[in-house]
Amino acid sequence: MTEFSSDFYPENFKYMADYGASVSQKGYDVKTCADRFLVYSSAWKNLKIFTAVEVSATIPASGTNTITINHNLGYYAPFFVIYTGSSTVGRANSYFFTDSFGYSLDYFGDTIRQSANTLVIDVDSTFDDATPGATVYFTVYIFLDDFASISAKNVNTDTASGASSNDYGLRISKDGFDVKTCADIDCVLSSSFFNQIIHMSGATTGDTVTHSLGYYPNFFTFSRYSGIGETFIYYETYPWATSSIIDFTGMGADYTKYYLIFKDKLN
Amino acid sequence: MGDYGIRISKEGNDVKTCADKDCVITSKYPTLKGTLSGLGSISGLASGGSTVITINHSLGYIPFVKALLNPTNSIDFGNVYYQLPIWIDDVEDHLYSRVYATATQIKIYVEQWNAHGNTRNYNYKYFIFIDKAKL
Repeated sequence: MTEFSSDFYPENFKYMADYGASVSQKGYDVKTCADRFLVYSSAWKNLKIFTAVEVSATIPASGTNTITINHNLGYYAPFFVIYTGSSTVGRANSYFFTDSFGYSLDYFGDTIRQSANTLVIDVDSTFDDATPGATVYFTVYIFLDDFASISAKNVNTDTASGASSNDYGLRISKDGFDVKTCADIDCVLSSSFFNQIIHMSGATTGDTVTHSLGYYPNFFTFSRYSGIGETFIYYETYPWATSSIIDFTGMGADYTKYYLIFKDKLN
Repeated sequence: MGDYGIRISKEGNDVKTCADKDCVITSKYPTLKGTLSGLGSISGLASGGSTVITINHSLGYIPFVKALLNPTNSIDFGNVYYQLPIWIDDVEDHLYSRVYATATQIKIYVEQWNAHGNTRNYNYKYFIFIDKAKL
């Protein structure tokens, strides 16, 4: 369900030059704010959650226990895996792509990978505190979006913002939730929060991708060892961002690099 | 979708027929929603040393978080941002960093050592989402 507050239009809602619409974050003037202060715009896609699930396995005494999630999207999609602890190390901390000791679960760790239809987590006898029989838990986010090529497009790269403290804006609830009363977490979108607006996406075997933002952007990268016919993608933290490019130098042409570059500004 | 909701297609796609993934937004799938972001710096981290940056949040549950690190005076890495976790053993500089979260805080762990025994400086950027890490 969608709710527009009484002074929603035109304060933070605008029609694009040709067609479409944008909504700014609360406190920013939609007509003048930089792209990165928009909640959404029909000029760009937002990162959309296809599924968020908790999965678990036990640490084996030897060998590997494998968790398989069948998403059946039919294409490579961005994903995040968070290790949320175990029956032995506790569950008070959640670790983004590492175990509780900090061992990486990305490509270097070779533990988590995704094909066009499945996501796989391998839990072997050495995982985390290596206690056989301990139950380990993960939260997996798989996104609906693919890595189809989206070229860079800027409408306003300025950092100007509005200064209104009025409580206006846009709120859209998830299916089955009352938009007037549901918790923020049960919203599809709200102008009270910032969104992961996709500036660019794509796949390359080259060394760099030029983003043209003029500042350091937030980004996600994945890789596939396509040179040997690998069919899985891995979360990849080797690349780095500058104010003009995402740099994959050193990975080589044998790797296909998948990237999402967001409007978010790091510096 | 049921009998209500919102659907906005991306430029060049017919909103009535395009795939969900080609929508800018659809109430069928929530977006990842950020509630807090910030940046900071670490100065003079000794070679062989480590530090933990702690940022408080008031969500009352463990949120999904992401962080990136910018080494500003290393010999090997340049003035760039890396996604965490990162573990780099280069010729002169070695860097390890990760991010984790509790129901009240997020924590960014950084350790470094280098061939010259020099201190190193860093900038960091974090994003805290209202979407949960622990469901």
